[in-house]
Amino acid sequence: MRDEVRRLLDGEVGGDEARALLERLPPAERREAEALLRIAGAAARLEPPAPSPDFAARAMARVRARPPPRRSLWTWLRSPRVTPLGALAGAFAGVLLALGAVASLGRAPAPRAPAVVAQLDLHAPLARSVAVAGDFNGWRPEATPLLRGEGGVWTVRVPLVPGRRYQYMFLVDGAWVSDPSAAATAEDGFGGRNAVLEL
Amino acid sequence: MALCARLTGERGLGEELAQEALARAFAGLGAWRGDGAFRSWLTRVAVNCCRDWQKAGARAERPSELDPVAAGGLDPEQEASGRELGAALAAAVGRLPPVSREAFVLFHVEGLPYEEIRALTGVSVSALKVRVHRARQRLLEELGPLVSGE
Repeated sequence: MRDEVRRLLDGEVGGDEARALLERLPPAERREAEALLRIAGAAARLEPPAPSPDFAARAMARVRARPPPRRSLWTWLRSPRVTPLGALAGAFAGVLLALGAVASLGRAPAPRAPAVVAQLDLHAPLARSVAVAGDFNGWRPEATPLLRGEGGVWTVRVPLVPGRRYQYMFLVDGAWVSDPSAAATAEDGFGGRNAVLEL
Repeated sequence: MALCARLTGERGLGEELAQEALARAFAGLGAWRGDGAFRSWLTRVAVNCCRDWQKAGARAERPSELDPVAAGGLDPEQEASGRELGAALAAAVGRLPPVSREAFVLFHVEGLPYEEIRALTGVSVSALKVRVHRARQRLLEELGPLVSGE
């Protein structure tokens, strides 16, 4: 096949140049080029196969079974984070901090909110690793692993602030698991439910 | 999902791989540097999922699920219609060798420029053009009567 016909099929030639090229081809080559163009055109118009009705639900189930995304420190350091709106917000926050610092001069430091320690338990005798992610640790399961105790009960104690409402999930061998003993749950936005702990 | 189905030639498997791609993309969001189009990055994840599946040799030789010819056959009247050309083409694409199919689908079906496909697959533009050319010739052999215009 001539290079110019390949260029035509690769979309590098179009319009009048393409028509002129086809017209000067010998009949057999022209028929072949036109047939190949029909294939290319039909390929571009192929209808995408319709997904199954439960495709989204199954996809989300698989997403939920993975650990949450993490960014490496190097990636975080290299990625741009300052937007005009962000810069404006940062400047505004800086002004507020400065005003707050001035206003607090000569005053005693405000008392910190008292913390309570909540113990989270999960019965998972066959699990090899259990961690918990929630509002209290930035949804970073690596920050709060549970320890295996007697009878396959995994436990961890986390400091929390009274009066607040926390959502959390366990990560058991890499799979997200709701706390079966939670008194309340809430939609997690992925088709599942987070455990809710209100203090 | 459509891309994975085209790359594998099987709708059910395409759905599985598309789900896997979405899960990988979610777990690997940290690897996305945010300095390119998200769609391109997600496409790369999907292509890699399909490539991993090909490497694993998991594909048994069997007729494509996107293959109406193998499923029941097309009568001459159906073959005469453009709609059936699309169906026959989809089936024939599913029967292409994997490397040719990948190049053909990304270039002619997805409409990606060669340079973008090179970035996605790591295959040189000249090699991609050869693969697409071979795919077109193979499709012409299979679909000859449907596209000859005679």
